[in-house]
Amino acid sequence: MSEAAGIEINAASLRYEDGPPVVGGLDLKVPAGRFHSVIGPSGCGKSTLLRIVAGLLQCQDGLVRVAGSDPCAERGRGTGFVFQDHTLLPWLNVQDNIALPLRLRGVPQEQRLRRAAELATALDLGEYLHYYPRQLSGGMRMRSSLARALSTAPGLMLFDEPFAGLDAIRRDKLGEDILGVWARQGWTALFVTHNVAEAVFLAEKVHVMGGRPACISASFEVPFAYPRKPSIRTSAPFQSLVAKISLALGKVALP
Amino acid sequence: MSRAKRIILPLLFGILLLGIWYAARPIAGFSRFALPFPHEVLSALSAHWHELLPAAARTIQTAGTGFVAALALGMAAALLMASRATARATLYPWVLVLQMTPLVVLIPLIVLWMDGFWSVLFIAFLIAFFPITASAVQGLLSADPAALELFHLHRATWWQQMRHLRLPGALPYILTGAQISASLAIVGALTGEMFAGQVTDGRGGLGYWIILYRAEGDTAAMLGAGLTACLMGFAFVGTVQLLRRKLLGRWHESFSPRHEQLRKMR
Repeated sequence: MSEAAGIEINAASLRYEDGPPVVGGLDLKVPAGRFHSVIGPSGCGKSTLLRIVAGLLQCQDGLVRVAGSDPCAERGRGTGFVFQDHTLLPWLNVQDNIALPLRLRGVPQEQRLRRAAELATALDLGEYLHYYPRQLSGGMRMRSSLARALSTAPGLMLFDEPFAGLDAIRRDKLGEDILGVWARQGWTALFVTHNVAEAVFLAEKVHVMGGRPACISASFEVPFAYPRKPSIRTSAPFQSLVAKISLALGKVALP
Repeated sequence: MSRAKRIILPLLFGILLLGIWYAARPIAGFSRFALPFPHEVLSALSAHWHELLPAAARTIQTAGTGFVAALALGMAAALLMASRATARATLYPWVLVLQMTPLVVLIPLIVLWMDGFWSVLFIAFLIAFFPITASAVQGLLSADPAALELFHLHRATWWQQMRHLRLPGALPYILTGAQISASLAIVGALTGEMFAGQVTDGRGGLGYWIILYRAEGDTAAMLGAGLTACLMGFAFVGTVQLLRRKLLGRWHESFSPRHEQLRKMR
């Protein structure tokens, strides 16, 4: 596995072509191996932030560093990206979908298929290796997508509201599974969501994003130790933190 | 719908059409020359099969070569137009011009420019070129933006993007275009043959015989030749359909069992 990669962003701003800045004066620091989440209203620039960190978008101003390097120059080197939609290729079966990033990197077939099978088994997809995406449930598609992002053994995992299309039971289960993999593999995680309880359950620190141009307006430490039991969701300290963050979220300007 | 129903229903409709055909001649007061009965067409077909069979083979050869050339050049043009905006801006309007030009105007000229076989081949190619090119361009440009981001993230090369994302995604579009192109290639070859006359060894394709039978006033044989062309068209389009099932059956939504269920519900 790649070594966990920390994120450091200072006064970053980005605009699309001649438009007004979408992100402005954004500061964010995620130390290597930590799990942070970013929460904010829809359309506030959370996905843009992830694309900046992934090296898919280049900021006009400010400094962006992932593992000490410019992510645009080092794009894809050690980053896994889980998209909002599963983005599985419908003409590939689960195993080939999971192995796709390795295929793009020229990893020999036998090696990449073995790696895909291992990941699928770890994510309860072992029986579905030869299924096509249309034959899978929404939850299984998202698991395949997660396995694909993990295939290159990244040091940084970026999640762009991956559970948006799932029901509450599946969301909770998948969140717990992600924490399980994170505990074993130790990558750095930046998880974007608009669900406050989800952000709190998963992360060590929750950043609230909003405004025009968007920046981080507040950050909250989450004091619960890992491994987190599902039952903490109903505990009073958890609920009170969720309420506090919701209040902060209510104060940010809507885009 | 059951398999039996899917066979019986079109057959019944065919019988109905035959009935109308038989009834039309006496009702409209047409002569045998204007509208031969179906059995007269069949007997003309059996009388002329020794001419029609080799003619059909020649038409298949030219239409098939024209179609394959249209497929190859159309795909090459589509790949170029899908990869370079300048190429798209430069070429696409001309592909449209080709589509809008009534080729019938050009056919007598093409026949003047080239020898028989080549002129027919060129006409079949020209008429089959547009549907495959236009649908391939559309398909290649329709890749999911998030999937494209995934490929960018992993620094996929141009060819990897084509090979693993754009081309497989464009396949349903390409096959639909190919199906239209396949039937048009036959129409093109037939029309070319009508103008070009005898093409090889002093013998023509089906189009040539259609013109010849018409000049002889043998309408039944003319329709027999038409029927042969129709069977050829079925074979062409059927091949593309088989290819479609083979290439898309496992993953494309149009072959999903859910579609069959929804069709039943309606």
